[in-house]
Amino acid sequence: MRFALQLLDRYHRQLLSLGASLLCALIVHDWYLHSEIAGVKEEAGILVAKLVDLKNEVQRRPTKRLTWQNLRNAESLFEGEQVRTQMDAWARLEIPGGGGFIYVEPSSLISFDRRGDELVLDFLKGNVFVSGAQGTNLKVRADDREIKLNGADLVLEKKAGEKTKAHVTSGTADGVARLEDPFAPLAPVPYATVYVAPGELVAWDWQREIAPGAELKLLTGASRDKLKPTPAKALKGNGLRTRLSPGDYYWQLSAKEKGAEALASQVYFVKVVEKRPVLPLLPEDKAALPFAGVEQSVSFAFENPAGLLGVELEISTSKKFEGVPRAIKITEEGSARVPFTVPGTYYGRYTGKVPGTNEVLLSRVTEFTVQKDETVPVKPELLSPADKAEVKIELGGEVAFSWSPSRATRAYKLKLKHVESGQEKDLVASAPAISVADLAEGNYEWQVVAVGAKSTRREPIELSSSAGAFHLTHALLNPPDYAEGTAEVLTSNARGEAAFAWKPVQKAKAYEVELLDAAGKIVHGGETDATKSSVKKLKPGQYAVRVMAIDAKGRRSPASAPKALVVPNRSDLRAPKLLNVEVDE
Amino acid sequence: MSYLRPRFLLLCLLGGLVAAAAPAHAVSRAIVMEWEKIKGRAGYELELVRLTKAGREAPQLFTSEEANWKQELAVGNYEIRLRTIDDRGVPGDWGAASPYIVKLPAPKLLSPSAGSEIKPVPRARLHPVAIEWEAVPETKAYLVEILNASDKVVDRKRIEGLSYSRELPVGKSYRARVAALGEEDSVGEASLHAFSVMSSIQKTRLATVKLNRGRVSYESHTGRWAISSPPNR
Repeated sequence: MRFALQLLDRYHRQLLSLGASLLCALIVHDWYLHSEIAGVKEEAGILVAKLVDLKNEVQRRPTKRLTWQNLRNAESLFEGEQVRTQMDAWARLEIPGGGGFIYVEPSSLISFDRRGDELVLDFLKGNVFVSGAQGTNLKVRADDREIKLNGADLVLEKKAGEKTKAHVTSGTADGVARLEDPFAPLAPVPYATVYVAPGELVAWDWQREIAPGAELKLLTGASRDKLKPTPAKALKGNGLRTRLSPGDYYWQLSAKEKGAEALASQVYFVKVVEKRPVLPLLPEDKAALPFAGVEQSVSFAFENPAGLLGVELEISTSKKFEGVPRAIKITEEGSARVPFTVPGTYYGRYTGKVPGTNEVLLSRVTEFTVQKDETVPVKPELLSPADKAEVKIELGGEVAFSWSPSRATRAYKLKLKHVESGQEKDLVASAPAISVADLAEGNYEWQVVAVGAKSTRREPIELSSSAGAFHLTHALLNPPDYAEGTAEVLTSNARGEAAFAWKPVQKAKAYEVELLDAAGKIVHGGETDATKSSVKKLKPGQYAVRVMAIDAKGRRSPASAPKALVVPNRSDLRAPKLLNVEVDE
Repeated sequence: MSYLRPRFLLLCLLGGLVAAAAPAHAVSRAIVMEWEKIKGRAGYELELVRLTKAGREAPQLFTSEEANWKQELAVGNYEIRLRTIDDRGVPGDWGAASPYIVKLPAPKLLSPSAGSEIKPVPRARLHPVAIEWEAVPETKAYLVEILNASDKVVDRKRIEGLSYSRELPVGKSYRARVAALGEEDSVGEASLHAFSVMSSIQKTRLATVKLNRGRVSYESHTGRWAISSPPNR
């Protein structure tokens, strides 16, 4: 401890400066990371080019940024951005809309600018090949000089302390000399990509006739400065063939005829790509895919190492792809999802065109079976309530839900949503039917999910039905029926007293009894919990009684049919006997 | 009971109107009726139908909350029916009709006075007795009867005046009965006075008084014998 304190005392300044340095480094690193991720989005302006191929570290510097950011394949470049390549890196940029491209060789620096409709490529250093396709309104600016391409191909070179050298390799550009090449190469086209089948030789052809017996060499290398002779088989006159493994090559031709000076072509670049068809990855060959429910979506995955164009997935039930196969255009790189509705054995293969040619490469065929899987559930079909049905239940009643049974189902989940309130109910049923009580009135949406049994292969599959909807109303209770034996017409006794009864109504909380006079006017009304009622002291006349059932919400059912009630017009009190009559004197 | 009141008042009013509508010349009498009480009643309804020579007059209805009724009724023959009204105001069945006659009042007999002894002239066998009475309003004729001691009618006359006289054998007791005759000679209530026409040779018969106690004395100032009781011992 004491030793540590002594060390701290002696080296505290150094330790403090080390800590400050570390902190600064962390801050810078964090800023760098964040600017790399978010900077492009923040400053994205007008799109000027897209990075389609690269090797090693290629970087860009957005406008108003000091730091360089690494570029990834397929990234977009915007107006005002600079692009640079490291010593062992190159980049191929495509100019949208015209088919032109820019090949940026190692240790080069360019930037993009846009002036009206024109795209201006500022060439700052290194070596760049610009293929200005017709229709591309591209200008090159180098050393305060502007070159309009008009579809011409241009090579640009600028070394430190020197002026830019610009030459046209094809077409014409105002004020730019043609690149003189004693060989006048025909193939490979400069800066093009050459596709070769496995074992196929790469062809070099040129215009100049080389005398037989001349010492002809093909120099290739990973950079302009490191070219080495490559074994090649010379053809008569103006060509040679060589075997090159796929890769990037700078190349140069040289020839030494007897009695003449040695000839050397310019240095060009070529990318050799093996003609490889698409490589299927998924589904695996002979794979058995469970066919779950009505539809099975099969995932396909592949690789396209040769960058074939227009890749399509062909699916057929014929191993030889007889007839017209089902063709699916691939829109996502490396994957596709294809729905199948019929179980069976299928064959799949990919097609793709070799760029720049009409040659179509076929991948190997993958066989797979979309089979019924009895261990997975099928999608339930909603049965009841029917979609958009008007459902009427008694208050406190239940709504019966049912759906088609699903095999291999452990349980069903009923998802019920009351639209007006947004309240949701999740219920679980073991059978394809369930009755649900206490549902409020209103609109409902519902769905059933079949939950598959657990298996060792996968987690339980859940398959949802399509959504159903219905409208629920609570029906009023039925009007009560009069009790058995109730007379067709009720008659009160001579004191105006009558009693009557009715059958109980299920779910009725109470009953309302009304007494109506001959004109139909309600003369008396009241509620009762019982299923009988009586009236008394009614004056003689014609009356009617009727009963309504009251539900838990206090709502009255329709009234029962009025029951006539007759009250006799004579009391039953007997007449008194006359006891005495006399004259009151 | 209270909800019966309007009906009761209405019926009373109607009854009053009917009573008021009786003939102006008719003699009316205050009649009191009583009947049995019925349990559970709110009132009673009384129907009076006057019977005349022309037939039955329109019934008159009266109500009463109590089991009695008093009303001035014109003289005549009636049928009376009663029924009970319950607490709803609903009447029960009518009872059987009871006939009742409201008679003319009895004329006041002026002569002979009740219990009078008429002294005939000596040795007469017959003696004229005058029967006089006061007029009964609106009455033109009267029925005069003279009954003997055994209540046998010895004379009966329809008199359109206020007196009647006839000779009666002396030494006998009589009763004079006079009743007013109404329409169609209906007989009203009668007044009855007993009298006797003494014999022309009247012997004074003294009563034999047996005294166990007290004494008999003659009071000269009254001319009567008096019996005085002795003080208790």
